[in-house]
Amino acid sequence: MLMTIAPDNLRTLLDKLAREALLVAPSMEDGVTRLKPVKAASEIAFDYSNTATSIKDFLFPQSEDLLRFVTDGTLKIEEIRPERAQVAFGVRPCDLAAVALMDKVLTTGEYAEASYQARRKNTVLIGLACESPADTCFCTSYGYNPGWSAGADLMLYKDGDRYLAETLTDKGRGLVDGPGEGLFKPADEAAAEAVKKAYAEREVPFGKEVDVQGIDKILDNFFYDQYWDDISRKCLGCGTCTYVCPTCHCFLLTDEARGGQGVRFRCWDSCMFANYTKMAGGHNPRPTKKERVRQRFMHKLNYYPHRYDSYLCTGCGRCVAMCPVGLHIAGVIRDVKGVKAHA
Amino acid sequence: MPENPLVPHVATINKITPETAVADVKTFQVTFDDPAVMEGFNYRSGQCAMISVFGVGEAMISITSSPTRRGFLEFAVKRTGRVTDALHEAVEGQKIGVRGPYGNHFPLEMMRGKNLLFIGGGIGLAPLRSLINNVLDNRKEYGRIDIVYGARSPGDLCFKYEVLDNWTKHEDTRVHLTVDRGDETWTGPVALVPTFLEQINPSPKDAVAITCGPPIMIKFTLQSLAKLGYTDDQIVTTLEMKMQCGVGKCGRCNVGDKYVCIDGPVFTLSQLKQLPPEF
Repeated sequence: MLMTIAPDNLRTLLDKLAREALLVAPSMEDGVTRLKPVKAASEIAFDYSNTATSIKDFLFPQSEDLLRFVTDGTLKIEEIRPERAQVAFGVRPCDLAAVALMDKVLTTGEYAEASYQARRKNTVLIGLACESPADTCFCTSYGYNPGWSAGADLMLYKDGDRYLAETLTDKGRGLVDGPGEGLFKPADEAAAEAVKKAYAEREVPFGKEVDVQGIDKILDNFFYDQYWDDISRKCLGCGTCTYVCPTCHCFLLTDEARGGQGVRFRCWDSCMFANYTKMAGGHNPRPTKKERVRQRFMHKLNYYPHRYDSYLCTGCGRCVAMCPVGLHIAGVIRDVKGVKAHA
Repeated sequence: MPENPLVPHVATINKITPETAVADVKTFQVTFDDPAVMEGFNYRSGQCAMISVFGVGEAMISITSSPTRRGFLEFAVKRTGRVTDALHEAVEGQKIGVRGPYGNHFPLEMMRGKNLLFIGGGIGLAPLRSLINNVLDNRKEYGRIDIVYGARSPGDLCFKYEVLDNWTKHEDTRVHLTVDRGDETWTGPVALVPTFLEQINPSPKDAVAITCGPPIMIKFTLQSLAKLGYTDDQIVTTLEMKMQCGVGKCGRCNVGDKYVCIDGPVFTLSQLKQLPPEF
């Protein structure tokens, strides 16, 4: 359903949501806009290209307790499931698309990761289309666009002095009919569709677009290429790319115990770290940066597409912006195509 | 609430059997405390389970008992890292966590009616033991059986009570033992497994070879099998990778686009040759 909402009403709605649930929204601190918990609309930044960190932080937090155990004398295991309702406002199209890619790994197949699934269920995603994409954005390269809404429960598009709003799920409708009651107005259908179309056709700036067409197939025969030796030399192995990436989902499980009781928690891991694949006996199948850098890009552009039929990247540009040595996926795609073209 | 695959079931260690002279390998016989969980734990030879020592962590261990023998699980564990160290400190009656079974299994369907050649090295016999006992419990369904087993020294041979006794009593079943270095008690062959295998010279005709052991042994055993005339489709082996979740989510155990935890650990050599050699 298409509606409009005035900025003042949107603030009223967000204030209400902050009282009823955990509200996550873009907020600026020390010059950096991040998605973070806010207590009122006054803390929210409404003008930003993209947040420095992604919605992943709240659906798949850096660390999450999975179970509690007691080991004194006997063994008792008690599962922990995240229960708190949360609403995320200002989720950009690239992050909405990224959630769909995370879902494929964590909720499909024979097994589902239960904590993530619970958070997905308890979270309402309010998307916000991109008025001014950053100079690192390249979502259109993958077929997404600044108005991409799939994955949002409620999608907002800034339209002059108001917002166009579209409900996409029951959760979104529930939000409009519940806390949003009386704050939205019906939209003129034709005008609304024109606004959506304009966002969908908006180009990303500064020529960051890359031609990803066929990169998965090219990489089928690229594992042994000298290229991986060359680019891995400058990688610092810091793991920043994997932390800021909205689709990197590798994790490890760790116990923390004291005095016969403790918790087992899941926390982010990174394929950029040597310990990631180092086995107890000392053997490491990916012992140097070369194998690890290759693994990261092969996973995103070849292995994941083989399993799930899409690239594990949405062009959010965070790794482009934040890699300290400028080694990022857009560059790798361009390079690999170039190497192939010259081979 | 839907079941959470990362939450283990409580199990009790019933029996601990030291396997090697220095007891760096022990077999743990385990039962789930909930009889319904025990009853519902249907696994096949080659599958693994995640063992938890709470407060220390989890490790993926192959199930060494045969699914033909119900009511318990057995894990033969070599002392190698933090979790296996803690497990080796465990006593009978102690509670641990177990979840699984995970992964694919040895291709019994493809092995039926064939001559079987098992080649194990050291603790690599653990997953093969599940399969061997499974096959021997249905002995008539298979042809000739040769079991080639080697270890660094006589003291490092595992499951001696079966290798030297139970297994040799079966019809048309031969056990061939070798060690890298003998000692004063050892009167058998002293040779590395691949060399020893070539001396035994088992025929590839209507045969399937299943091998499991340390990577270096596997590497040369595969070459020996090729020399003996075994094709890539006749050779079955297993891969080992670091694992955390065991259910295809945590990312690390991939070799190419395959996750060893759910797509493996069992691969034919032809399947393996489709993957990048990153294991």
